[in-house]
Amino acid sequence: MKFCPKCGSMMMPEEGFFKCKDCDTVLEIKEEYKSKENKSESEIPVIDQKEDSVLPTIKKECPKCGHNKAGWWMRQTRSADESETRFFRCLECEHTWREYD
Amino acid sequence: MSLDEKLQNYKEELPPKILKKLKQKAQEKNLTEKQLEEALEETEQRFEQKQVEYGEPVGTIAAQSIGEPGTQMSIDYEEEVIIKQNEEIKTKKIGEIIDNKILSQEAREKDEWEVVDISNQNYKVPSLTQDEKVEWKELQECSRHPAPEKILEIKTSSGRKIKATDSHSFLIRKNNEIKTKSGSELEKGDRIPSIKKLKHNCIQTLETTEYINQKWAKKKLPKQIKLDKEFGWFIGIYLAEGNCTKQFVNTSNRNQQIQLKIRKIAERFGFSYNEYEHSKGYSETHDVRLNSKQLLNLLEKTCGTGSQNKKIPEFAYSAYDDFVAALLRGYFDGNGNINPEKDMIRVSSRSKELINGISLLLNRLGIFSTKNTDKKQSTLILSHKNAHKFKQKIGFTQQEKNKEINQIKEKPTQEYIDMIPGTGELIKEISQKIGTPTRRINNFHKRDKIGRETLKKYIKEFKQKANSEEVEQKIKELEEAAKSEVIWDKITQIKEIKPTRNYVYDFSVKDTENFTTKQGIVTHNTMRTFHYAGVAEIDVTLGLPRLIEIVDARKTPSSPMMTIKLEEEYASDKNKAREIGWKIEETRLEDIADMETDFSKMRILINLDDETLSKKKISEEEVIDKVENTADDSVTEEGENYIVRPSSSSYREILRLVEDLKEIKVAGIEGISRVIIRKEGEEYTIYTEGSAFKEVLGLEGVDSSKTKTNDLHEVYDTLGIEGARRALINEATDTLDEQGLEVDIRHIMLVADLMTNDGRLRAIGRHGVSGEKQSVLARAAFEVTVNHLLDAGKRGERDELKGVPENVIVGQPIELGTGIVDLQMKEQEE
Repeated sequence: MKFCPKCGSMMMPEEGFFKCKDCDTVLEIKEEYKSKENKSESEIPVIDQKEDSVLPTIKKECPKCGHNKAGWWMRQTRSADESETRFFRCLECEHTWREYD
Repeated sequence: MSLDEKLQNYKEELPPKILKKLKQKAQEKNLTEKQLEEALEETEQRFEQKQVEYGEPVGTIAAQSIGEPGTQMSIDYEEEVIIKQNEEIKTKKIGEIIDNKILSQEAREKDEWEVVDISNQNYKVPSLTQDEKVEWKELQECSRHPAPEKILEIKTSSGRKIKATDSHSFLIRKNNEIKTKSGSELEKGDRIPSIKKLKHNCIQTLETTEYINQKWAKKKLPKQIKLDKEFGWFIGIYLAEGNCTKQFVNTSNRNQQIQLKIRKIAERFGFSYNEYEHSKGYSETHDVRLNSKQLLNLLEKTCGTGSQNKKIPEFAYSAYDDFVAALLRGYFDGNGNINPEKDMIRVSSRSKELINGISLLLNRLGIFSTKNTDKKQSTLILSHKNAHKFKQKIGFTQQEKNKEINQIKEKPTQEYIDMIPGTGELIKEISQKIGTPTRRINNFHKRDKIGRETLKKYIKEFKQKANSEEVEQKIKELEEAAKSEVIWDKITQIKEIKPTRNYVYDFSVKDTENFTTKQGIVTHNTMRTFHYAGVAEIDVTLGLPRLIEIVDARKTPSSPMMTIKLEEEYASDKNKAREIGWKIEETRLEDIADMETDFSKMRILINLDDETLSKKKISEEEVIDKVENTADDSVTEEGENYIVRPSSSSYREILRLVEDLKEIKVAGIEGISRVIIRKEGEEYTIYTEGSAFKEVLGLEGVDSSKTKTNDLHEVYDTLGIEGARRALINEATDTLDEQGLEVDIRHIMLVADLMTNDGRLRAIGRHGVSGEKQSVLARAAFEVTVNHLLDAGKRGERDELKGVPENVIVGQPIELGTGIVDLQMKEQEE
């Protein structure tokens, strides 16, 4: 898109020439003005394996299945003057439970 | 030349920041011209080295791109791998196998990779499991991609070699676990696994019909030859000393016992044989020639002829152990000898392939061997322990040779090859806990490796002194390491070479992710399946916000999601599951076509991608129809492209038109923005972002009794109020469980019942349950007090005072509990 060199207003393309809206300047279109949008390749992901847990682990007995390893994370669930609640998730049966003092 | 001018020369190669720093330093330190030159050159070199190539994974990008097909992890065409189909074990060049598959089956292309799914074709490869056992595991996919400029050739101390790209991952042992390390990171001294024992399932007889040419021979070979010890031995001796001419099969050996055996075989099959004694070449030899053209054909085709071309016949790999032992005995009888210093059994051949095969067969019987190759000869060496094992399991026909083996000393400390790495930390922990002086095991901890036999000794000792369960657990882990079925072979050389062909190849193995080359090296395969790294998780609202959504019965949850289970045949087939996925996923025009906006001519060119169209089963006419609808104008064709013109010739129009065109839905169900397929247990399940319950339930292949959604109103519309009640309970329970809270289900059932007892889904809150109470005072006491009171006054409403809040306001006992009864006075009877 070009602006008219004389009056500065926008020029519209017409049959190979840029014509100014207000004054009558005509410029030849020399370059290609194109913008390309390529198709976005999207593949449906097929996940075959269970992803490994990214949580840090600790040796804790799961109350449901008895497995000895669990992932843990901590969140401040109660008021600011209370200590954090510890969440545990069993690596085997994915049972989640919490503990706080 | 002044300082500036010099630096200007390097303007192209080094960025201005570095040049500026150099200038500073040069001025500070008053460098001479020569020093400056050197500094500039050195900087340029180092800078170039650190530069990243296109497509090279770096840092976090590397971490994210694990699983991305672009990370090249493959091996060379020529590498032979061990593969089993049904029950037949073969060793074939990986390039051959995969090229054939790609020709015969349709390959999926991603970037530059061609991938073929072979998961249901019953191919298995020997694979190393986490507990270090070698098991046959199923192949899922195979792939190839254009080879890079250089690949690495890795040589181990036992003489095994493997050629692979530098990002191909290998297995190493660290922290008592098996981990992966890429080829480019491997160093001399790292240890990679090679198998000790191959598990097998065997064939007993050999079908001869495919090898025989003549049907009218005088003495025919039987249709099936039993693969027994005799035949095995014969094959062995043929491989060692036999050759085929056009008329007969010849074996040369001076030993009487061996000649006797050969004669016996000939008699068994009924061939005639001739014998010649003559001095040929170096010494006197005794030839036994078997006259059978059919036997000739068989041997030629299966074993080859001529000292450079011989190889182990394919059927030998799938035969039983006693056949293999006999074959090895025959071979060693012919070619094997014990060297003068009496410390090893040696056998050599001009055929490298043959030596490789013999090594593999020895592995099968649990005997480990070292290989040496020079230009012409390849030699196999069995030393010490392995030589004794040889005597035990195989043995020579000549008793004198067997006696000589006894003289081979068993050197207990020669365990350079069979060392187990990655156990140092564990050993130190155990010894600390049980109180052994650490200086004894310091060596193992520092070098992080220990010989297998030594480890076994220590394990015994540890066991005796074990004092707690924790220690016993750790000792168990050590034991697993000691019992492993692989030998951790040390890398002696890593070389860069050119790949032999244009492509490099790879397998994808189920569960264990590694496979074995013919030489026995276990290599890690490409990451699982080619799923894309990046977000493969669906965003769901959890916790309190979700609970609020549920209880408020929101019309549109913030993250609607469907779990689609498939019917039996669709659930086990990955491709069918994917097809359903494509059918459902909303596809827009921008996903299937390239669009070019030509401002100079005020038009839009649309180029549809034929491949994607056929993959997703969309017809071009349909698409163009839809485009015409949106564009309000006819669409013209010009070669490859379709041309759309906006109604008026203004920039704004054309830009708006482009955006509208991009959003045109061409396939899939509206609302379903993303589809993910996950394999859970044995079946594939589809998860979608976006919910369209009614339409999806009606699709073919979808199991409508197990599919679910988290949008409650959709459940209400499709399955009715009772379904909505159950969905409510399930959603609430799941949300609470995910947070680790245990709430008895009855409480949630109460809430669900309250919300659905009317026959429709009502929210708790002033738009639902609480706002529809009969009592004015109750509603006024809850929210928006004045409105309720005023409206009630306008209408002249009447409050029955039946519920709890109104009675509390008024001050009366509630009609529950004690107040459920009213007192009446009993009439006095007179």
